[in-house]
Amino acid sequence: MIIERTILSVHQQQWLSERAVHLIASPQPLGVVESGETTLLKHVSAGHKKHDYVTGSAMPFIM
Amino acid sequence: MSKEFVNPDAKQKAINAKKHALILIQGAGQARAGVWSKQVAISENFELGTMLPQLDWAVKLNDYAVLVMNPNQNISEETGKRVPLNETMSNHATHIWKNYVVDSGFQEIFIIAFSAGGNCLTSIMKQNPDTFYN
Repeated sequence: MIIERTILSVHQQQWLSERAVHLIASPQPLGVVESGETTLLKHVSAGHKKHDYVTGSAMPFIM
Repeated sequence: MSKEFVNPDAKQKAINAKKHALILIQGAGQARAGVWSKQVAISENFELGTMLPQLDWAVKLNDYAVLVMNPNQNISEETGKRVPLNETMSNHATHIWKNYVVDSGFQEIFIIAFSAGGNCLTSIMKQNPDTFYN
């Protein structure tokens, strides 16, 4: 989920960044924080390389 | 969706104020409500491809109220025409949010939005800044 900073106020950006994460397809193990991203939300590996598997694969992290 | 979302009266809102809720928003494509990925559900298993694990976790283990959006059902199977107020994924999401979520009064709401479901979420955020961030 890519959320553009420009649509949010500073307060909204802070609120969201404290409460949400962006789970991404990645070869890294589940839960590893990915570096190099400059988007609003923290990027976290879903533990699967394929996009379609992200939600199911990340279930242990989400819950 | 759980009954707690449907026209809650004062008594129900008092109950909701002590409860949590989970909202699930799928991505774009052929998948309908309850399915994250049709391909994964068919070729892999329901644990990975559907919302059943999240529903089990929320309802059975934690007594959460649950709302599953259905943003891809934009055309009526009966008439072949666009469904009013649900013509697009974002329209569906904001319509559901406005009519079932805003006034539900839950203590806390968790949201899982997959892929293009994130666009639905940003539409909700943009159109409901006064309530979303509370």
